[in-house]
Amino acid sequence: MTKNETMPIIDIIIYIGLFIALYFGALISITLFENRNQLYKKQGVFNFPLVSVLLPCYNEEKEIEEAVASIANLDYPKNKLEIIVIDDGSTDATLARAKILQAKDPRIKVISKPNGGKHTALNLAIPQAKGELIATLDADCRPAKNALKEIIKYLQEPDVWAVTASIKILKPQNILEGVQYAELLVSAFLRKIYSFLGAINVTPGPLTVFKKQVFSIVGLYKKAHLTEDCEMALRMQSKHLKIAHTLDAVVYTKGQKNIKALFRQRIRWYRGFTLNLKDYLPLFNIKQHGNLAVLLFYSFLGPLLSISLATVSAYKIARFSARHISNGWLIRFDFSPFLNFRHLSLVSFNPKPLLFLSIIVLLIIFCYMMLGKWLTFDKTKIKQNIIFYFLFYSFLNASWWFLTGLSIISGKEIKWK
Amino acid sequence: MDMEIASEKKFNGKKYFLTLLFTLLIFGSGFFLSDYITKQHIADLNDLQQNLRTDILSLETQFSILSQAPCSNLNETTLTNELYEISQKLASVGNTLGENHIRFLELKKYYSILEIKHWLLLKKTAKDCKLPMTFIIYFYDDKKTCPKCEDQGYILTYFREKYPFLRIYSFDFNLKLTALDALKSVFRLKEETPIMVINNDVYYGYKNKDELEAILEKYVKLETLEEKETATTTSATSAPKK
Repeated sequence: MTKNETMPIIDIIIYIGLFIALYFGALISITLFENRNQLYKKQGVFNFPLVSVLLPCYNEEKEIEEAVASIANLDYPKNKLEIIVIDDGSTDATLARAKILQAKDPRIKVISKPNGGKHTALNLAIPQAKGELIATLDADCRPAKNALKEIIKYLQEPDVWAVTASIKILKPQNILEGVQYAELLVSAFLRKIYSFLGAINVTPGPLTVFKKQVFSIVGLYKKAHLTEDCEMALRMQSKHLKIAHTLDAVVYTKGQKNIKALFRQRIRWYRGFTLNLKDYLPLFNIKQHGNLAVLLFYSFLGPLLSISLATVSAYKIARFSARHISNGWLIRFDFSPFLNFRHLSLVSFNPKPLLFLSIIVLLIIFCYMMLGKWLTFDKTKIKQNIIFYFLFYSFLNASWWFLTGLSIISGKEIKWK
Repeated sequence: MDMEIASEKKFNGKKYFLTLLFTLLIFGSGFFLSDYITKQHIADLNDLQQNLRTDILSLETQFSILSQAPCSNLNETTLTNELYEISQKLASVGNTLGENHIRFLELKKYYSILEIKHWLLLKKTAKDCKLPMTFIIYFYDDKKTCPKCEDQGYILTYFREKYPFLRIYSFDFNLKLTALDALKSVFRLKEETPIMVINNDVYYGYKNKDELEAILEKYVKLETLEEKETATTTSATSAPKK
């Protein structure tokens, strides 16, 4: 086929993708506008319920002390906090260190069991927890001092059953952490909007607080394709239990430092999310689940869009590069005559609608990121590595979804780490 | 224990319809903005073509009025730059509208006529004012008929930037234009693109950078002329009288 015959098809794909992305952007913007006065809970905490913080650990000897300290130092009445460390059959010194901590602080309880996965660790601890509220925290996460207090404000409402915190990357240093930092800012903002739409689809491990009653209504955690936090949220949604999100309770997590670990983590998440959705198909019923159903459709459409847009963009970039390399070859890579800029002119600017619409979409994402930063009172100086988020994230996301697709088709089981 | 569906979760048809309208507005504004800029480009292109036509006419008139060529007042670089600017703007319009769009083809025809007029005038000027110029008339065709034309075009652009004494005019071989047919018949051209007419000699087929440089050597001493041309263009107004 000639260039003229193939281009419209590619353009049509891009325009459809951009329209869907813009529709999503418009829905988020309108919801934000509708709820602009409800972004924070203004009322204080009336009473402080007993909270049991569950800390499942598997080979976390390097993290456990700091993690326990971050919980013990929370701005919350000391006698209203119970810390349960569950050692899931660690082969390092996790258990020994946990016991030392237990000896120093009577609020700490240590449970040990043979290795069986995170869900088994949590399930062992939940019935033993004394708190009215159950908080789950990953060992590599550090909640901000005010996090629990802010979350409690939401749980005072009778119809709220769980509250998720805004996750941030702890001290982002390299490019990869910068990308994850930007991604989590967007995610913090979007999760707040999703909460207004009653459409939160994950109660993340880094920090979620549940009313203990939730587990008697929906049951304990399941293995759930290694994404028990996603499955729990979907199960709660299927029972119409409201999940809220708070912007002013922040939990810091360590970003994945290398690309391999990041890929492994994302494929686990995306695979788990997809397979869990397959297990909860009735959630797609718009009559029953309204906004949640629409946004779940979007989460299926998202990967397809992401892969097709990234493929088309990669094709265009490759064609552009190949043409310039081939042109360079024609003139033996002597570009010096072009450097005199004698005939440089802005008139060659090609104003296709695609350009404007792509700029609008990028601006929307940028606004989400800045809103995520601003609404969570983030004072971190924006570094240049944020640019990499805009340059590469769409390609990274598309490749995660592509590999997730392959992983699901192959039917091969994957591991946590 | 099954809870009632919460109010925030309920599907609000009105809101989704409003979102659709809002999206259509943004989407439409992208198309509107693009259309507006394209129209501006075409308007600018018309202005530029008008300017060039006036400048060509002005120079032609000077030649007619004066018994001697107005070499002392000659500033052909303005004319040449105008022509390049039009070609770039035309390429941009072509990218937006499509190469076969009727409006684009009209603009291209008009540009081709201006190119021929520019060439005729500059040939005379170069001769009368003894300017060291070499003229290349380049005929190209679409990618299907002439796969090497795009490469040849790029090499010629490179030469145009490298050697300021070169004046290159490119024409679509299949453009239906009587002036262009006349040009083709003057040089008795066969339909074997790419074709280059260097001064009055016709060269068929693709010529790579080294081959083209060797051909140009026959007409001019490239190194010396490059320096000389730089001097000429910087002091074009004080070019020697005939």
